[in-house]
Amino acid sequence: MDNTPTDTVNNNDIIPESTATPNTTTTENNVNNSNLATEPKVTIVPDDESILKFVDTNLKCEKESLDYRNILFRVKTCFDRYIKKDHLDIVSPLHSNGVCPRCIFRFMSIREFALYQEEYLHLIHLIHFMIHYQKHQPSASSTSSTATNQDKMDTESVEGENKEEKQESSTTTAAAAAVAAPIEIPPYDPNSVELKNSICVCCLGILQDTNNKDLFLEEFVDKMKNCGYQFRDYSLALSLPTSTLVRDHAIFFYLRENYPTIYPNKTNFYEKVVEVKEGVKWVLGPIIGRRCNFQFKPSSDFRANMNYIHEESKDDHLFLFDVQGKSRKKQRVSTKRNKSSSQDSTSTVTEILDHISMKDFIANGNVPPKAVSTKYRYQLTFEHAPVYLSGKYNKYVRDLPQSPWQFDDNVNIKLSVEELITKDLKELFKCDQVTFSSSGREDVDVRMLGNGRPFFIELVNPHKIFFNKPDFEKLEESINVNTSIKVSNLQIITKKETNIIKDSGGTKQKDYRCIVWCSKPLQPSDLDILNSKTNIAISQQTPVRVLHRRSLMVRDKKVEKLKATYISPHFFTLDIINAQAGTYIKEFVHGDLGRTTPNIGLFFGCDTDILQLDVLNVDLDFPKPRK
Amino acid sequence: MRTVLERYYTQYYMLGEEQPSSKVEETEDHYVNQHTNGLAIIGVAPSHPVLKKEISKIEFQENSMNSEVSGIKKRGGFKLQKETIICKIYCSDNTQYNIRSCIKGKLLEINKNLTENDEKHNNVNFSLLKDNSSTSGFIAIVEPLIQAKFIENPGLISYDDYHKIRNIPVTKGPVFLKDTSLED
Repeated sequence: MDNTPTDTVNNNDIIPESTATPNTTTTENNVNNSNLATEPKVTIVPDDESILKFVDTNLKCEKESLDYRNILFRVKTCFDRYIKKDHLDIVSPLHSNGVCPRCIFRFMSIREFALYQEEYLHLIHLIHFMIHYQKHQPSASSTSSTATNQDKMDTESVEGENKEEKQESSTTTAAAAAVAAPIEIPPYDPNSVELKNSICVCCLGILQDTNNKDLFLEEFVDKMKNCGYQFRDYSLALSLPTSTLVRDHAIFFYLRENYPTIYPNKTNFYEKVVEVKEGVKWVLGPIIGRRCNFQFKPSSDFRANMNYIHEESKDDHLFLFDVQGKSRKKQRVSTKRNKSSSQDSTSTVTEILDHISMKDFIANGNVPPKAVSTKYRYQLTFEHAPVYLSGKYNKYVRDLPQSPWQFDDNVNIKLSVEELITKDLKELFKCDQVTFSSSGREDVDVRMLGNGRPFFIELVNPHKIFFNKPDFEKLEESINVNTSIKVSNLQIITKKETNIIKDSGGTKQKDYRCIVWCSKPLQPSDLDILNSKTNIAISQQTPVRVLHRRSLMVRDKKVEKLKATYISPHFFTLDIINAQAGTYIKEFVHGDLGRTTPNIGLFFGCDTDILQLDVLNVDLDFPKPRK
Repeated sequence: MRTVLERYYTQYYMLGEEQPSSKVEETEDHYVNQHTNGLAIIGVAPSHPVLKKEISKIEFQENSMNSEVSGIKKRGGFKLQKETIICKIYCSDNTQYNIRSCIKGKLLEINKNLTENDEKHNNVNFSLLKDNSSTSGFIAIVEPLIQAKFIENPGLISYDDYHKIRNIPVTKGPVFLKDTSLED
């Protein structure tokens, strides 16, 4: 209502509300003065003024002004549509105990999203309307024989208001009439009630402020909008102080004791009471959707983590441990329980609350909960699930390792395939971390030819995830500037698809080509020994070359075919076709001190050595070329 | 095989010490080849007398036979001192030679092929040791205690010094031109 220039009492904007004077009737000027005067009496002493702000409910609208009528209209509409008419009797006590409107609805088991989304000012008037309505019910009015000051004020304004309303806004009166049809209830005058401001004892302001622009929403929406992430949809994870849970239970038990009909015995808390979290989500969800154009999904790759903190009430739950301690002692006497670990966790508190008896809770806890003088704080953080960039790489040089070589002084002397591919990715994806994985590896002096070796890169917490074909082409181009390697088929794959590469380890086969030196001069026909062999079973002890970092064992491998091509008496090229994954090819050729058997030397009865080795093909067609 | 040895290993030797009392022959020399990754291969040097004699039996010591390592860290290997005897070689002339570990360290593997029966002849084929003493006729693989400055293992001498002292001509394997081409 702050956009109305004709507001009568602009001064009140800046004056804190007093909770200490609920029933005093004074003129508006007096209100100002008395509030200023009684300020010291107010028990609330905010540490930080910015924390303790309230919805401006002190505005009085001129009768028949647009705002005035709007309030009445909203109140009545909400009342008709969303409010169950039973248990209205709990509204007044909850309100006077400092429970905010939305929390009152939670305890009335109201699950109408639209009601929670209503403006706070309307809701506080709705609460007063409900109190007003309840008071004038035949049953209620009979009990309250003495009219309060407020009642007097209500009745004073009844007549004039009635007339005006009939004339000018027939719709509102019609609605009011419909509600009040059977019994005559004096019309509700928003100006007649003294709206007190306090922090809700249940939600600590969390739900109370949640759709207020100035107190919460603008800043929150701003943070959401400027999160700096690209994403398809989002999910919102709320983490609330445990004290809200304790306080909810306090109200729950308070109501159960004083109004036995509302929650029959043995009612489960969660069946009847709407959780604060849910209320917040109902309110925030549509607003985020509307204001930020974000699409909500219960489980999304992109998650906003909303962590509410409330220092003042952080010890609210401690009494539970004392109560629990007593009852536990009965069960197991000798067990020494450590008062440490994760006792403060929400799940621990929830578990105790599920089992605590109403009697114990009321006897030991604060029922109803104590008022608080500070509001919650919150931290909003974001995270995006990893995305996976996949492709194939070729390596055309014999002095480039696949992964970075770490030396004692942590300085990389040589570059690596991994570094050449990933060097710009952190910046490109704006991610926290980059992890390179590939389908096997080749030695530093081995070239990777053919279609290339499949790999994928995990990009942790990426801020940028939308890439199209030209982007990948550009990325490939920039990586391939270094002609030592070539990457192709770059694309984003799903997490599930990474398993294709991960699981390929034991199954895929590879083709190699190498140049072999033989100590004994050979005739071209001598190579037939090799060419005639198929499905060679090889037994390899862990090569000495890698023995320092692998455990010692015998590995049984298989090579499907050999194809030797004569070069000169001491040299020939050898194609090793369909070697099982993990076959140590170099050792298969030179024998590794006789520790790999059979080996090429053994077939000829002389020494053989491997001079050059290339991987011709990795038998894994993934990822496919981009479409 | 010269080429593999020269590429992957640094070759050291340990001379047999002249000890008249214990009948150690002058040329009971061992080789200790250190792989670039630090591990060492122990075997009999070309000057060792067994290579010129007829071997009747090769017998690994019980401790060496029972030594087993597990895992990447090679837990459980038999601890070796410089003088620890790994195996004994008996010759037909009733001489006996002790093959020692030469360096402090942990025994990873012994060459069981040396004592295995030949399928064709149904007896142990000692030609593996005699003909390929520097490669598949090795005795044991040891994880040395001193790896970084290997030459500081007491008693080790270099390849060149060994060949000079024993007056053995240096034979090296063929040298292959390294492929340094950068294909596009």
